[in-house]
Amino acid sequence: MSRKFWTMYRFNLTQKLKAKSFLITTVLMLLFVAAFSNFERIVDWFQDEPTLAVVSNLDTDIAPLLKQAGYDGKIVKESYTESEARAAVMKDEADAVAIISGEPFAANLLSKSPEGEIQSQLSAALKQLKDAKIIEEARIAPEVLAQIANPVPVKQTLTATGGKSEEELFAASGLVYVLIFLMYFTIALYGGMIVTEVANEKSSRVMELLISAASPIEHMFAKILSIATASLIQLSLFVAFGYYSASRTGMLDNLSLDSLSVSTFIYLFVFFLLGYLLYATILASLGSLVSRVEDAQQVTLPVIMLLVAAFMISMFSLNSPANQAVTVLSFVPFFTPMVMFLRVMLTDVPAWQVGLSLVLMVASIALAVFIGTRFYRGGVLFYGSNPVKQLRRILASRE
Amino acid sequence: MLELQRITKRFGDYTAVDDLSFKVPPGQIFGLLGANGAGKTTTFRMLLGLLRPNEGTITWKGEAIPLSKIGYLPEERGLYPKIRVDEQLVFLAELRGMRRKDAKASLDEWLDFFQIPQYKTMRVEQLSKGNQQKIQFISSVLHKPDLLILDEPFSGLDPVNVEQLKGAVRHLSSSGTTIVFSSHRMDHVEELCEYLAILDKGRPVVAGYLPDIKDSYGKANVLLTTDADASEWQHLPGILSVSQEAEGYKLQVASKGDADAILRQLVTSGARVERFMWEQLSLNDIFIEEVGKHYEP
Repeated sequence: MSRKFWTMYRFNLTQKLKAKSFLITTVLMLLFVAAFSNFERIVDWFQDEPTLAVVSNLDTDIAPLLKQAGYDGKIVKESYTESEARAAVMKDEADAVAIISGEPFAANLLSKSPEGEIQSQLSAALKQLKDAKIIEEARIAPEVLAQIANPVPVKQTLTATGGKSEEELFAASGLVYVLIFLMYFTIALYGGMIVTEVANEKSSRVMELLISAASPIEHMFAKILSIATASLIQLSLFVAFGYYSASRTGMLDNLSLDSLSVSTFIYLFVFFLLGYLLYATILASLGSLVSRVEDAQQVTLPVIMLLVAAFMISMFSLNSPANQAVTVLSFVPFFTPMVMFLRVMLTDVPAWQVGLSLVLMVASIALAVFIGTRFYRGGVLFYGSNPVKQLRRILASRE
Repeated sequence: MLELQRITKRFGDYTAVDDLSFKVPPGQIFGLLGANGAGKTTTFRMLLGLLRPNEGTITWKGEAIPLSKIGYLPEERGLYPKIRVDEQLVFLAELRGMRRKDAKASLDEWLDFFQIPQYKTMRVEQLSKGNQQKIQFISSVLHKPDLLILDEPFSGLDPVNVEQLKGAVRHLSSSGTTIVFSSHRMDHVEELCEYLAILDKGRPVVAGYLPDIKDSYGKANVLLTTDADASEWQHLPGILSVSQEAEGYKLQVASKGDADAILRQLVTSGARVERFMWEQLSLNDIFIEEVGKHYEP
């Protein structure tokens, strides 16, 4: 890389990092990450501890059994009649009133709105009481009971999913979902940034100065790589902060981070980088075709649609990663970063397939750079409202 | 020495520049004139290497022009609106191969020259249009180019700023910078350049050393203020046209001898002559003659 490249790279990067818009998005994203990772806590804030009033004629105290069944609210013992119970619910003295009777075990749960959770917890607690009574009356030996409770073991041996069990696969697909979403989001966000910046440089006519001093290919890569750097800085902030915040709230446990291995990181990095380069190159070339930033969306829409398609395909493939169609689509360079990544993570993909998809991607990036830099040089010299017409003029001006 | 030899540039079927040749000796100011669409900007873009000519060669001291030695002021002014003046100008100078420290020093000198050091740390969008243009000019000369290309440097400037910019151009020229510029304003070209070319629809119609060009036109103007009625004199031999102006008449004559004959005749007829002035055709006259009256500046 030449000195000019580094000059442009440094200028673009420092200006990007200093830009108010960049600082604002970073702060907003950090707030979003904080809110997301504390989602449960925030919901809890707005939810008072429920109060359950229990009217019971049983000898046994049902409270410990309810707690065992998962109820974690307040329990108060009352001796309401049914009409008093109704009044108590209507006056919000209790969120629900359970009127319990033994012989046979039954209960009536009164509440303003459905309390499904309390209902099943109550049912479980009563079932336990009932079972204990039946067992005692039938005089069943404890050994027999233990044997009945013992399940029959069924061992599962998987031959095609990289030896991952169903739970592991399920957990892995959750992680893959998050990573693919991150990939989609990042490419869309920073790809869009590139289009805007290139279109901005063109509409403010700085481009003419830039490419009369440096080659278009240097300029294009300085732009693409400086934004990639800015994005990595921003992303690592988000990830580090998200990890910290989620580990404090226990949200991390849902995400089986154990299945994150070194190879996952390598695949993620390679596919993300190649995907970013492919989309960024095409978007930068398209950005050079428009004369005004307002027109940028119009020309980039087809490319963004491809990105959305890649994301949708991955979402649909999460449940059937071994599908033949998924295999075929994973070789389309626009889809490879997400779909091949998904296949690698969830199924056994032969090495040659991964290799072939990478070769195809690198080849299409090279093609995009080759075509893109030609448009780039031509694109910055022609101004007009119609990008297609401009494309034709650029082609006509080539010697 | 900048030398263009038989340059032709075509866009599809359209020929933007047709067989253009000219030379600019070092330290000289060269004016490129022409109506809109005459091919001036295309010529500049070929000098900058943004476009490649279909035919012909462009050389600087016998070789290809090194990008770091060129300064360029584009016709459509362009700077980053939201970035500070010093940051972007130092960046652009670095891109032309200048060291950061030198670029900063050079920037301070130029801001002082234009008496605008207070704009150094402001964003370009905060400046008036005239001041933006000065900043744009500084961006083209900051890196001390050997060859400076100015595309319509004076358009949109008020007279005070035009004079300031002319001063800068003369200063650079006297310190050895070779300057090529285009303009719609004939008076600016006439004032600054000794060498020029007039383009019409891509073809050079006049090119060379200005005094030689003027000499090659035998025609001249006579500015006359008199009490005699000269309004019908265009029928007299040797007089090509007559136009009435605020202070009298402007007669275009075929040769200097014709002017002498007019003066003799005026004196013998006893008319009172307050002013009789002979002058070579102005660049404006030549331009109109060559490019035609359809030209609208």
